[in-house]
Amino acid sequence: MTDLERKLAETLREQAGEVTPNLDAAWAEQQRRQRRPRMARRRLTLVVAPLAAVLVVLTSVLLVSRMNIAPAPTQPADGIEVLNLASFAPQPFDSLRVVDVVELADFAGQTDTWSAFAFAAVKAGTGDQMLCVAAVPAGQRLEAGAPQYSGSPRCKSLPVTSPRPLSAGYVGEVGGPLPPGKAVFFVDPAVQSLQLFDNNGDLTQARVLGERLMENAVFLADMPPDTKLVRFRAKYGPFSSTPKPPASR
Amino acid sequence: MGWGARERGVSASVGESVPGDLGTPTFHALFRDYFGQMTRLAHLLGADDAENVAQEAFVKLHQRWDTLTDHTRVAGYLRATVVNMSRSRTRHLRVVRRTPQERPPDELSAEVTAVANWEHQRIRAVLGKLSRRQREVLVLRYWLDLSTAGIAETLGISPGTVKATTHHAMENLRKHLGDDLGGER
Repeated sequence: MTDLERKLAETLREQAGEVTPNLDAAWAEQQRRQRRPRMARRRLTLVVAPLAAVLVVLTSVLLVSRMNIAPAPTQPADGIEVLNLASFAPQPFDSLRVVDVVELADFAGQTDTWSAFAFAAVKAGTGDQMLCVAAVPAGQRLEAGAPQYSGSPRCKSLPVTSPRPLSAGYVGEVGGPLPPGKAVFFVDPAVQSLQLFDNNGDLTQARVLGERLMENAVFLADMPPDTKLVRFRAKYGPFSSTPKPPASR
Repeated sequence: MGWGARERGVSASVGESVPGDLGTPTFHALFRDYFGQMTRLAHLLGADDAENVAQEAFVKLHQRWDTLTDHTRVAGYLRATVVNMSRSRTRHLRVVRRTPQERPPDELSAEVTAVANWEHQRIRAVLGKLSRRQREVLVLRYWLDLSTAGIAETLGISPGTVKATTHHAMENLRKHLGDDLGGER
């Protein structure tokens, strides 16, 4: 230890000696302070508790806000159904008694222009109700004796309890009464919009013709000729709510 | 100074204590053994209310008494608490003394002045001009006789910093005291 260090130690000891606490009095004071309510705890209660309450409220508001602004979960399959169409079979026009007719569209054949019709009919002999599609030369009426396009008419019997919302549909084909790229659908008359989806997910919006056949609304769709329709969505109104089935109404 | 031996004795007694028992002989013994030392430490570090600082350090120790796992380190905990509280107090005093209503700087009483010799007065004056950390290091080293590791633990700094700070503090002392007091090494 150098002389300076020695003098420094002496100085510190001397300075420390200036303090001579009374231990008994200090111990009494210490016990008094130990019994003193903790200011920190009191301060904690006064400050932290309101802050915690505010924090809880803010968190709740934030959570509610986030729930409200969160986008509704997308439901890709909302109202979309698989499109299963029973095939339309050729029927002799003479065996059908036409009940109602709706003109669908004109289309060009190899030599002539043809007019396609959808019609409701009753099958002679069985009395079955039929939904049919036929094509006659443009300008002619759909009646007995009128020349029929190849494979026309094609029909499907209409069951007593037809499936809803889609009762039947016919997709145009080569040699059929509707050409490829056109399709006709017979749906619940309450349906206001009919969307069709191909296997790529592309949408085709069918248009309603405004006339009914056997209590069915008639929708006509125009799509690319090679399109294969696989799903559909029927909208019943602005809120797309599906009406209850008749049994539960 | 013999504090190491005393600390060991107190630590053993604390280790046998019943935690949380207010006023048990062990806490009381700890208080009796260390209160004076802690009060003097606060005084040397510049706190103007050294006894209050020591009292509050013991209050804090009592509040943590139940959670202390290593009672052999009670003395270190007390020292660190006193150092921190003295810092806060001296910092507060510096702010207060900057105001227009500042009180005159502490001066030695007439009695002390009469007793202290001229060298000690000069050393004390220079100690008061040192930085806070340099003053702390010198007090812990030359009054409490703590090792470098003990100083480092008390101040929460590395041993290397302790050595460097001690060196710079002694250099400052020599520079301010001049050749007549600290010139020689």
